[in-house]
Amino acid sequence: MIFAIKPFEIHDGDGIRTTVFFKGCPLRCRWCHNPESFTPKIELLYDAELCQNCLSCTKLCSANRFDNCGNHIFIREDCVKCGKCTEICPTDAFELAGKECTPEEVAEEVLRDELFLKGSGGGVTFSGGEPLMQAEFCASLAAILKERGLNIAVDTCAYASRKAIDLVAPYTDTFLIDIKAIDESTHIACTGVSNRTILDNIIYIDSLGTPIELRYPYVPTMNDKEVEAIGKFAASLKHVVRMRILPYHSYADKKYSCLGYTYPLPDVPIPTKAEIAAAVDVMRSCGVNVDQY
Amino acid sequence: MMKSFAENRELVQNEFEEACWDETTGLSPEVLREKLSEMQNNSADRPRPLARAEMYAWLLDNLQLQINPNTPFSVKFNLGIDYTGFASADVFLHAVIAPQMGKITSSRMDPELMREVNYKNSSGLGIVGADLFHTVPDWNNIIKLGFTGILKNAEASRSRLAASGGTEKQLIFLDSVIISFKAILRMLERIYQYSLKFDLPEFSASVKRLTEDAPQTFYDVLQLSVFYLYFEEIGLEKGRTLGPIDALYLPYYEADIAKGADPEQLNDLIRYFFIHYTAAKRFAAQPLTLCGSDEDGSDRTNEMSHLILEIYDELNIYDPKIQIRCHKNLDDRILTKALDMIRHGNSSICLLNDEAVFRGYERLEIPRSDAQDYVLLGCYEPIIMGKEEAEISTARLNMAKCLEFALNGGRDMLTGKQIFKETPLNPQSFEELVEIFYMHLDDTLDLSIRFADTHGRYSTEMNPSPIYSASFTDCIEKATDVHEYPLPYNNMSLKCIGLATVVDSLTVLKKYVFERGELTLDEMRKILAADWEGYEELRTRIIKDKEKYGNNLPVPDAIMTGITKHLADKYCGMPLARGGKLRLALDSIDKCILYGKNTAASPDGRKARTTLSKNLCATDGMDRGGITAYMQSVLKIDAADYVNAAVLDFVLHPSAVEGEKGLDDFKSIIRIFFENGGFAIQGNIVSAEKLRAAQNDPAKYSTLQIRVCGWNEYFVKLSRVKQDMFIRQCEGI
Repeated sequence: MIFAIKPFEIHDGDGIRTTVFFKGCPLRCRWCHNPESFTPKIELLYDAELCQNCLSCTKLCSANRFDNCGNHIFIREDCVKCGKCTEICPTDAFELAGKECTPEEVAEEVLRDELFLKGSGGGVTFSGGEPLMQAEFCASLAAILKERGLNIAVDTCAYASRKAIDLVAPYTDTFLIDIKAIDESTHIACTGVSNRTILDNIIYIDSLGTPIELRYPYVPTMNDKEVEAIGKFAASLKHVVRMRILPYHSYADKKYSCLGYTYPLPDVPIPTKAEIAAAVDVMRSCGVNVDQY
Repeated sequence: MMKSFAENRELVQNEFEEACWDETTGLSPEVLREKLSEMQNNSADRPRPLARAEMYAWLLDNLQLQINPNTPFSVKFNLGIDYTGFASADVFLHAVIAPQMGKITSSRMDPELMREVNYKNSSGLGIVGADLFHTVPDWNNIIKLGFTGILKNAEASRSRLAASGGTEKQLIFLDSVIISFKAILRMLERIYQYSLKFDLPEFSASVKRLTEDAPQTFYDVLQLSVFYLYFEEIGLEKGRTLGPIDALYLPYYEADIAKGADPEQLNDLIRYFFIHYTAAKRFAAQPLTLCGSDEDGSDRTNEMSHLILEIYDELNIYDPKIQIRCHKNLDDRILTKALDMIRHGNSSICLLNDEAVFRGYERLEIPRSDAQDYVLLGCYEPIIMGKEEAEISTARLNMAKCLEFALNGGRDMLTGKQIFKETPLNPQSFEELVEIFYMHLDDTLDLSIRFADTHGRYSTEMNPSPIYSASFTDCIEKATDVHEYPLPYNNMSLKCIGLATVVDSLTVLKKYVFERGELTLDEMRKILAADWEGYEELRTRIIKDKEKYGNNLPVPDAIMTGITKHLADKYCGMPLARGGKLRLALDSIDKCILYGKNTAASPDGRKARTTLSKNLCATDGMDRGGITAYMQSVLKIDAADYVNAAVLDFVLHPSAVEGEKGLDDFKSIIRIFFENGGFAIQGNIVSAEKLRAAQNDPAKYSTLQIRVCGWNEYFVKLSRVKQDMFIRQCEGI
């Protein structure tokens, strides 16, 4: 299950890349900016602010109705995710997230940009969601793309089985691994799961010799006390080529309401440049090659 | 002593708007116009080149001047131009050129052809005549010879021809040059004398030198460039580009340095020089060309190329505008600097691909040894300086109107008039519909080319161009006006407008009418006649349909290549009746808005009288597959068929090119585009949010510039229609 294939991505690995977003994730990071990736099921996003009340969609299904004043209302419980409303809505208030497809179909889409992916020293990035939740699909897709000589990066939270890692690792040129906290209770508070498996898997991946880019989402009040511990952990690994600090932003809050979710972090402040600079200094003092977006 | 540029900038950059003419120096524009009109009315019996030269000389002798002591390019002439908007409307145009063009058109052109063109133009086809206003003088000669050298050469040529049996026409041409250049030298002497009232010893000395000799110093060269364009413009010869100024100016810059000149003072001259053009507000900006490759592939980039970019970036201006000739050996620092400028909003830059241009010239059978000296004039149209006349904006084709004819049996849908021959209303297949469309394209084109070709033969009678012509050795030696085709290459160009509108419309017709049978052509005609009123749901579905040109998709791109190949096979390099060849272009400049106003609703969901697609761009907001897919669609066009321009306009969100990596990736896409045959690229790095904010708070965003077409403008000064067009382009990127 894929929810997006985005060309000309420059933030997820070297060069120009196409990123394949897998749907479904075992974590529930409270700052996640891709909430449409949570479940491995098709979902409908509805942006009420874009609705111009043309009522075209009300002719399609019972999920789109009139209220007592004749205005459009969307009843999520009645939605069967057929997607017809996405075709007819003039303002793109509806968006379907999630599509069943084969590795061959995804490969065909990715290879449409082969010219730029190869020419720029870029490639393809598997992201999500959690691509390792669909490890067999990932491996099949990676095999096709590797055959064509594409560089492959896997963006993972590392909450996966060894079997999943072993399936995908042979095709992977770089692992992009999120690391949220070293302290287990902090990690549980941030993501809903323990980090023991994650840390073990990172050490395991490091042992495979594949280059690793670690990514630390810096979220004030959530995991901002973890800088030094993460820095020391990163420094202990052999194949970390780079650490990226990703400052928290709240751009995704609207996506939550479009999915009918409540945004879990309404009051977290955006980190200041000084805070990020301080975090960078701490990481560097640990001996980590660090960068930030 | 003149103050530094930093202290004077504010005083200089609005100097044309705030000009105070010294009435003791000449006659007012109103009086000049009245007198010139009288001279024009009495000129019928005089050979046109002489009559025009005499009127021009009289105008120079009587123009009012102003000296602005705050700039080294101190002089201005009162031509009655309104500099508060785009500079337009001047004395010579209204009194001399326009009446003459009208007279020649009505008296010399075939009346039947004129009637046909006027009738068909009533449907908004936009067929036009000769382009007299995009010219490139031979700057190499001008700088080498100066005004005095050109005059001497013209006098020598006249003596030689007078002694060896030159024709009357040749002698008249040379006389017109001599009259014009003598008037220029009188004007320079007048400026020199007038300048003595001010404490401007360097300016006075430079002007004096130009009355006596070729330029001697860097300052002289810049001053000469300013004057030459002035003297062309006064006679409406409209020299556009400043030429390859890095190559032209560096030797003088270096010579001054070698003699002990202060580099910072020379750099200030460049600053003043650029701000002069910013202040003069010539329509669509004054272009200049940098870099390029020699025939052997070596890079022409020099220290002046770098210096110009540095200074230009520092000034944050958009006029003059910069065109950079890129190639595989281009100094990486140039592309890095240019792209860094573009991503920071200093985007008055167009990047051209030498290889694509050379291939285009090869298709016109022009060898690389000549093509290597091309410069860009106008927006992005190549021309071989000193060897080619290209009339870059002569014939035009509204392709969307041709599709309208194809769908309506040759009728104009807005007026009901039968414009072209009747064609079947209900073709049985999509292929048959395309053939009908091609038939209307060809009919329109044949007429447009025939008209422009014929019109071009009368260019010399309409506006003989002694100043422009005299810059060419060929013109002086052959004693022939440049419009009489003495140069090695005398071409004419055709702009094909509305590509994406047509491709998307045909894609819709193929899918919804011929494949799915959702509606018939009769029903589509009914919908278009109703301007989509009552069919909003279908229109939404069609607009949202992802199968559009600009997304690297097989169906629309095949339709696009079918059209571009049809045009190229039939018209690229077509020999013209008057000599020379036809050059094709897929750029629209801003005519996509004008032509759209005369075009009915189209099957792609476009409403009647709204803008057509621009250049070879995807329809606004329809390139949903991102810039790489968009580029790959464009790369399916054989750019060598469209040497008169095939520019890709991009819009990227600032986040896509931020940071060091963003700049590297930005360079990669440009490099890959060019390596795979892309012709030219220009664009904006801006978000829809920022443009909306500027729309709502113009004062705060008064300096936000935007690449409009082949030039930039301040976003807040654009019409609402254009502002909305750019916002649509930025949405969804």
